[in-house]
Amino acid sequence: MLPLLTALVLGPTSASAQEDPEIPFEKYELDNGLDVILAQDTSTPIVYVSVWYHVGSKDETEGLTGFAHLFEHLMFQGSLSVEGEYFEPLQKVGASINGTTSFDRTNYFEGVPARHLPLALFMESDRMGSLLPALDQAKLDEQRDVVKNERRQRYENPPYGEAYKDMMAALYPEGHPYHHVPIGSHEDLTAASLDDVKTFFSTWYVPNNASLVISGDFDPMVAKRLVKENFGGIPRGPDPVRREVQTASLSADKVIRQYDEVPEQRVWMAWHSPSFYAPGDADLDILSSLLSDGKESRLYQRLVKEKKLARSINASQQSGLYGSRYVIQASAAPGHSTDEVVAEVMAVLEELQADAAPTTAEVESARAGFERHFFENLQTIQGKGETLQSYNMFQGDPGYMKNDLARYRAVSPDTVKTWAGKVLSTPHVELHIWPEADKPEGGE
Amino acid sequence: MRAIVPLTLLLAACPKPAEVDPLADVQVHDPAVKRDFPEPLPETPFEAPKVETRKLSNGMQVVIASNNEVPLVRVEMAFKVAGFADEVPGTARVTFDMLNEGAGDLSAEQISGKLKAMASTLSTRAGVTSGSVQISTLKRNLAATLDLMETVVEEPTFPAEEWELRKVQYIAGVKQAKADPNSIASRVRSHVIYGDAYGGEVEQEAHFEAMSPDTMKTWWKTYAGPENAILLVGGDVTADEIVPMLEERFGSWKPEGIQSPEAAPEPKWPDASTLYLVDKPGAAQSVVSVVNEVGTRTDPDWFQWDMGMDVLGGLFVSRMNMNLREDKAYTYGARCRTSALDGPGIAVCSASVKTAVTGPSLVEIRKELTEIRGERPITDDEIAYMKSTTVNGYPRRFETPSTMLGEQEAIWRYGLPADWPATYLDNVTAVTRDQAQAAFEKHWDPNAEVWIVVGDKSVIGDDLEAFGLPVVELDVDGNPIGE
Repeated sequence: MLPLLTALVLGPTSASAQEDPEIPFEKYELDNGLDVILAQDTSTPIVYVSVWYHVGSKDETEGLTGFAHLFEHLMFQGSLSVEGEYFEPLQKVGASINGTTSFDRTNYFEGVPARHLPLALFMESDRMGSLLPALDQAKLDEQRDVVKNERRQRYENPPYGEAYKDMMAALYPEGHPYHHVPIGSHEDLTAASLDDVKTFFSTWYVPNNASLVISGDFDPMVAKRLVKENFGGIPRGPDPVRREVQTASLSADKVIRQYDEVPEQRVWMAWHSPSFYAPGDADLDILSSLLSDGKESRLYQRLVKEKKLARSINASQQSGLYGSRYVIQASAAPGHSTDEVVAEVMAVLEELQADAAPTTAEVESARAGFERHFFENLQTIQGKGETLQSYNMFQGDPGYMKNDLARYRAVSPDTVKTWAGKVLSTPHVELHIWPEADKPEGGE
Repeated sequence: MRAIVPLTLLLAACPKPAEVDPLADVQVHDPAVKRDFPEPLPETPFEAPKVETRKLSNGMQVVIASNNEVPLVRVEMAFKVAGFADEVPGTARVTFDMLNEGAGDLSAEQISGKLKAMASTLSTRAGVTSGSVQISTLKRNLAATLDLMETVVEEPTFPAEEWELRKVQYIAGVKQAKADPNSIASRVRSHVIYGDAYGGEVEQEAHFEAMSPDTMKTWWKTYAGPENAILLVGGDVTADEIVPMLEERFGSWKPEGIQSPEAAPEPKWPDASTLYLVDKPGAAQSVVSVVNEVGTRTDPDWFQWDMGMDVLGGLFVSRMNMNLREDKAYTYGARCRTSALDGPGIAVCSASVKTAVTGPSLVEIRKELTEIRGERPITDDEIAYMKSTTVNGYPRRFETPSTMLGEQEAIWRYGLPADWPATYLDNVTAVTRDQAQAAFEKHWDPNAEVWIVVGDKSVIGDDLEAFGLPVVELDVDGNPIGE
């Protein structure tokens, strides 16, 4: 932490440092273990408050898939001193409010006028410290149905809406934290009980498993006093015990074929890849860019433009705490099948690892886009706040941005080739979803 | 690594007298005790940042919202176009989309490659009344990205080979839209309201087959010129820096007498409230909506109408969502919104509801629409709440330049008064309960409601019949079945 505080006092020391994006911040810990991160930005009289609980769908136990997200909904149903809807007092002061649940974490946030920082901290601390007295069966039942409707709206009604779920289930073995997606299953949502809610809350929603960010226009001493007043009395809980997770791998390719009411043939190809921030993670981000970002990219050129086998194609490294996936997703062009697409993708990937190695120009061009992303996150206090939270949770250091930049700068054509070889030569999952009409005679 | 060095610890290392803990006197709240809501901090004075307006020598207006927090700049050239007047629907949109597929002597790959190497983007979009070309770039690449924008706008080539590739995308898009219940709902809505005019003629595969690079070239020459465009600049650049750069690239683009956009046609509302059904066998949910014709942003009672609509369904805490989501759990969310184009404005209340409760959901939506005009009129508290939301939320609109530029574009596009942003808060706070109530009653016609349901007819058919309105079944293109 020392270098950051020095930077605040002395300012940037070199021309190149001056051009690098940076978020000045201060971090400390309350006695109960809550991480507190303050980042001042007085350009507009607004302030952003974000609380991350270091729990996600990865921590759900068997039979309770979807629970972390259902629980997130219950956090908006009031607490001891907040009767009724969580949104009510906050929308009244023009706040933007929401919460999200991913595999790895759950976050809650509100952007409020600067003078309403006390309200935002009051609300967040009340649900962290005093949620259970306000919870009852009726609220659970009601939000359970809301969540089921969210599942229907976002995953069941749209075509291909459950492809991602099926891909993850095939890629990760049963029992692995990523085997199921955060929305969970109807069956498990139905099974969730009020006792489960209480256990989940006392296990994961303890201050020593959470971090608070305040970014925007505030007086640091005022903020610290408010933080202590509101959160200081919440008792520390037992440190959550996380399960041991074996690195997932596939022993052989898995090909899944589905026939559904969909308009065209699509395919998802997925490989296991290095976890978030691990060696190779940034290299695979760069690989994705040179494979499918822009009209000169390799997969676009070969499959869409030259051979016209696909109408669209996209490659991405999807990073996670317990392992990442490298995913190539494509829609077949009319008159062609996803099997032809897969064969051509494999040919391009093999050439990349053989005589058509990545070039310096490709890597430089891809890197430029990632460097720009860092600046984009600095445009709003929400962007700053969430960036600090993410670095804090995944790296234990909100100031990790300089290291994060460094890992993209360290990527070279050789490292891209090396990591492409390591990852893309392993077995993969292939999920083909075809229109019913394309189903081969006699079935499979 | 979990390195935590509290500030107090660092201060203690300084050669100063021992620090007293400045937080020692803070009373810590006991979470077992119920407490009152806190008082806000003293008000922070806020003066909204201003935009600057300039003109290029060819008359094109430039609006600049400077913000030097991050070294990024965006420049948008927005056009007034009449996509609704296109002989082949979608021509305007396709023409805009094709701009970066080839320009001057640059191929699609060259344009894309140059942009990528600079970490710049150049995007286009167009709807039934507007179109735009926008760049976003790191400040150091502003000049080079503007060069590309100039070429794209002034010398698009619409290469046939790229059009063949694009065409496949559009046709796939139509197929996808016909398979997705939400897209079906919006396609059908346009068609029912506007008939074959004003974007009402839904996009079909055949439309794209009917287009060619020649129709796009002609379209661009006919409808796009400096006389119907405005430049909107935001980010890390001053007016004095950017205006000469824009003058150099766009100042010599001479007006060549483009064709003015036609006035938008009026919607064709049914004579009586009608329920339109699109059958989607096996659907997990029904997408339901009710639509009505309302005023435009230039109407004197716009702010009054808008606030009433917010009470009904504008926010999470509004009546519609509190009832259908938080009370009944029929849906993940129910909202109402007004979309005011430069012609007719329409108001829509919509929700995706569980198939089994489609009938009850329609009843609850109608109940809200009826009661706000009758036994549960808008209250003073609701009006005070909406004003508080807007007034308190006001500074947030200025965090990035986009809201300010959006306002300036709206002034130019919709002919709003130039002082619209300056008087915005006064206009909101001046609204009274009676005015909001009157505006709602005036604009929402309960006898001309268009109800649209996309869902599984075999399950919901009886509920729809029981709703009491004439039911007309439509196909995914909005055409009555059996006609």
